[in-house]
Amino acid sequence: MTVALRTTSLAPSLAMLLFALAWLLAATPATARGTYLPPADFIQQSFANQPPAPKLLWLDKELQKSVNTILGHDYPALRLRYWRQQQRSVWVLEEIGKEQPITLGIVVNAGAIETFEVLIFRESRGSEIRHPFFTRQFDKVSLNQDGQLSSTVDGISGATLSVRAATRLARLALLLHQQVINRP
Amino acid sequence: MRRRTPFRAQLRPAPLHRRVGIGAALFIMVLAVSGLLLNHTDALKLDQRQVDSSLLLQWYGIDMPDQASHYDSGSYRVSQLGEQLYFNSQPLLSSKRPLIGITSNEQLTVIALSNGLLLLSHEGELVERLDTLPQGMDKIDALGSDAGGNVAIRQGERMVVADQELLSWQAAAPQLNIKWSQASQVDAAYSKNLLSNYRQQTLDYERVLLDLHSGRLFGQWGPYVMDAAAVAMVLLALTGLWRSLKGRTRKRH
Repeated sequence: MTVALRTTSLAPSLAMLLFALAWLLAATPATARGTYLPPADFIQQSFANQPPAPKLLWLDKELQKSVNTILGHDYPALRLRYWRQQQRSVWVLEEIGKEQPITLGIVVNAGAIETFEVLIFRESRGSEIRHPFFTRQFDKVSLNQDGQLSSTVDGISGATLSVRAATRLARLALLLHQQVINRP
Repeated sequence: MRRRTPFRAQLRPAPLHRRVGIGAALFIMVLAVSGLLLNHTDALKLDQRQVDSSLLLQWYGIDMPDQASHYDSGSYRVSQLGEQLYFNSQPLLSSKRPLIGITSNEQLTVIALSNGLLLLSHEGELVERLDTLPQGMDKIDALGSDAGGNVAIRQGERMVVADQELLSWQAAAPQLNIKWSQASQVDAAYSKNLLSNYRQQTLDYERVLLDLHSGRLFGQWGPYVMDAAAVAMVLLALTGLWRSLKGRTRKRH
């Protein structure tokens, strides 16, 4: 009798525990690593499916020095390809957040950022930077005379390194745009 | 005949402090010294110093990886051991994708992985990494070059040839004579040099010190031994304090 009563009283508690566990498992965010938009698709989208031929920007010593000022290290390549049409240039750039490179697609139009998008995220944390609430902050941002962004970018707690990497790449894209825009 | 100390007498602070101290001395020293060194990892650059002691590497079971492939372009050689790529015996980068081949022309040396291309200067500097394949291709089966040095890649029956700067790709004419990169054999000396490099790259002193500090270096029971050493340190502190307080109380009386 006692056993039966105990079993009966335990059942709702067990059910609640199972429900709580199931809810926790369902609520746990899946790892947000992955390709959100392949770079080739980003370039197509940026030019309404009619992208111009890519061009090359060689990172000579002088330019690497400026890049180093922004990134804190040289860009890990000797040349970068970009796509340009009149005053618009499109860049696919990479920077390490904590351990893995984050790939960003950035469109610069007349010296200000037009589109800022996370294309590939490989880190285990900090993928929140892919959301529009963060990327929107870069809209119409340009470089001021000190080489800093013209407006402040708010951080995201728990994604500090990714935010820093994204901010550095925004500055880099604007700098590179300045380098190529006066070319024929 | 020497009289045995009664068990209760052994539990008094002085003998207990002495016994615990002697028993755990070696482990406490290991913990203290490794802890001190780990506290200054950055200053000592422990994470950048690679272990080359064959005894330690063998202890960790670091040996030749299962997969090794080598390609030769005549002037340059690329190898992949496990996930590590080597360009002319020098570590280049790490890639999970399999190595497909190497080719070089007057301007560049091109290495193909199954998902993209690495463009290198002849000095081995990374010029560019091409992760986007030509339209209609999602992997590379073979890498080669035509008589003019233009880089060609193939997936199944589809073949494309790039311009000199690898900015654009065009379908290759079937009659085009392309020399495809083939896997090559390497001599024992090269293989030995590569293996030594691979093993050194795999283990740094910070890892060894961390494992020594935690006891993991000594197998599955090692952490428990270090736990016991930590408990011994607490016991030493308590028995030391106990002795000190007891001594003070006696003096007062």
